[in-house]
Amino acid sequence: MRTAIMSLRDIVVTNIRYFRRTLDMARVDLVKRYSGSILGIFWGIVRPMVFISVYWFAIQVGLRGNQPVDGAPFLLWFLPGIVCWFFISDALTIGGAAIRANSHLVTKMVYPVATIPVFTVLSLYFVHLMLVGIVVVIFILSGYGLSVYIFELFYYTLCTLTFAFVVSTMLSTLTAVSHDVGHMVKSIMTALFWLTPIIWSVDTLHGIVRYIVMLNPVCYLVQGYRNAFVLERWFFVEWEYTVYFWVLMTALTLFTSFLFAKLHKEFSDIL
Amino acid sequence: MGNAVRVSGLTKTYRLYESSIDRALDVFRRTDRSRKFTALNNISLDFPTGEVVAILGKNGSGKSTLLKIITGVASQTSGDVEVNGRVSAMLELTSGFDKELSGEENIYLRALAMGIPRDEVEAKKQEIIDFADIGTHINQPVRTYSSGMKARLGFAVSVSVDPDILIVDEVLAVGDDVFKLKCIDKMQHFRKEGKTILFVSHSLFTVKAFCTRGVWLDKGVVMAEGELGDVITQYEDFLREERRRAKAVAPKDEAPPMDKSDVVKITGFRMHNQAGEKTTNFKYGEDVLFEFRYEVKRPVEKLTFCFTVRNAEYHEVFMADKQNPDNTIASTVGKHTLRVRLRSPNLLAGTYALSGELWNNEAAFYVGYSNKRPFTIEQDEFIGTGITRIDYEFEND
Repeated sequence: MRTAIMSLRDIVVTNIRYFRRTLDMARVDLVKRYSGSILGIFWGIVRPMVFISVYWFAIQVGLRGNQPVDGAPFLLWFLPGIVCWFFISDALTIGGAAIRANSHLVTKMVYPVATIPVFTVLSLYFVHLMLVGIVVVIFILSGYGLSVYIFELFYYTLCTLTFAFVVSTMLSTLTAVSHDVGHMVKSIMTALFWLTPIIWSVDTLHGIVRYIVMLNPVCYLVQGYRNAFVLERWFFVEWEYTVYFWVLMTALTLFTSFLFAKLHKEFSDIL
Repeated sequence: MGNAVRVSGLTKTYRLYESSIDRALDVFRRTDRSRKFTALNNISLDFPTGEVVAILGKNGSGKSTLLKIITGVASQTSGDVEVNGRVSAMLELTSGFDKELSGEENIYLRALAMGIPRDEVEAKKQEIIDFADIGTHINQPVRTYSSGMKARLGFAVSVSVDPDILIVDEVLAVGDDVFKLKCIDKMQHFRKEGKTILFVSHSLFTVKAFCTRGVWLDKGVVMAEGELGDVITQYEDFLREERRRAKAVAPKDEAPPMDKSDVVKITGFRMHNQAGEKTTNFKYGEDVLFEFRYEVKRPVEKLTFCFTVRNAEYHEVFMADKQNPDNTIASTVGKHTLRVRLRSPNLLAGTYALSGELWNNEAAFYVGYSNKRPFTIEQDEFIGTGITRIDYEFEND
């Protein structure tokens, strides 16, 4: 416990101290990810857009599931959740491999390792912000409009970023040490996608199953984005769920700090 | 003069695991399931400011580990490292380049990762581009570069931070001779500015041309440390011994490779003065003499001898003409002695090195009788500085 708290302090101090460099690196990371392509960063938007269109087509046209969900047209109901998911999915797969992917920073120069997952997540977050912007525009253009609940998005952005920073640091620490963890994350992603209420509503579930699904913190975030856009529900209304989420985050943060403290000195020996 | 880097009681143990998942699980176990490998074993060293220190040793001797710990990339298991000044490490020149981005964009990429703020990069960019000297290629993707161009670009970025301590790990192996000369030139420049350089290279030639001190590591232990000449002599002896031993255990069924000493064997080299006393200290203007015995075991035609005198930095002062037929020596089977007199060589006070070999041009055969053996010249009265005296006269009206 002591180790975890000391290490958490170190990680936070390091990140504050090198924050400018982290921002620069996030920008560079973004450019690097799409380097060599003509559309560049726009691929970051095109890819999810294609994904969304295909899902929308399959569900609305193919499965004839075009009845409104929670009082909103399916597409509008679907958009906030899937956009949130894209960010989380990238944070887990790309952010979760950040240290290994940037091994040259670890083994060939003196670089604050604790900021590597952070700048990777931030570079993903730039793309996410653009997607959120597009969703906002779609809501306005569709005539559905936005309500005061949209301000709740700031709170859920904070939750999502916290989750992304913590889990990407945890996973990238583990993937740096073991390739197996990397493969495991990739194979779990599909399962996580279907087990999280992204293309289906959590309200269709009842009893114990509903609570088991809600144990998944990603569910809290996806529901949160939906709260802000269509459900019009404040985060403190379901306060038990909010408390659960933050308790879980605290535990994960401490676990991650402990892991990092034990393993980060060995990164340069392993990578 | 202080120490740029001081290392005391440094030990580095690597933990090796059968499977990588065990390393992760060990975090939660009370026991340690790893095998230990000690790369550095209780090393204490001082690297004085302003010196160019060569770190010598075979592969796996711990050189790179030591440099990585001094740089701060790797962490030690125990012991202390004290570093005074800004360190720039060149552990690998081309790592971290994105091959799709242009050379110029890669300058930013590397510089930012090294912690140089964007505006400072902006200011230094032209200097970096000039040093890299790759012309209009700077706007092309790095994947189109030759390895030499990549190395030049990497070197240019690394030296642009104006370090107090420069750490160079075997990076000059890539790239062409022009690049190497340019790098060495730049490092000489650093040396003149009183900066400290730690240098790893397997090219003893480069090391001799450039370093002032040496450290020889073997199996994680310091074998020798001090003036470069002493360390390198010991290291070369060790390498020779090693080679000889490797030969001894080589399988016998293959035809044994012909050893030089099966043709001509040299024994009993010594330097002496006019009085015949063995010495390596000579007075200015005095004749320098040396002699050695050699045994010709197989007939060799036209054995020639030559010698080279170098100054303390191993720059050549004089090398006798290897093609000169007048230098042909007795080469009938049997024992011979060769006595050489360097007639009042006019060398000024200082340390010099004598090298020499016997050789046969047609067979490309040679055997050395002296390898940079140091000798000193002493001088009572001051007549000028440099290497050698030049006779002069003048008249005026």
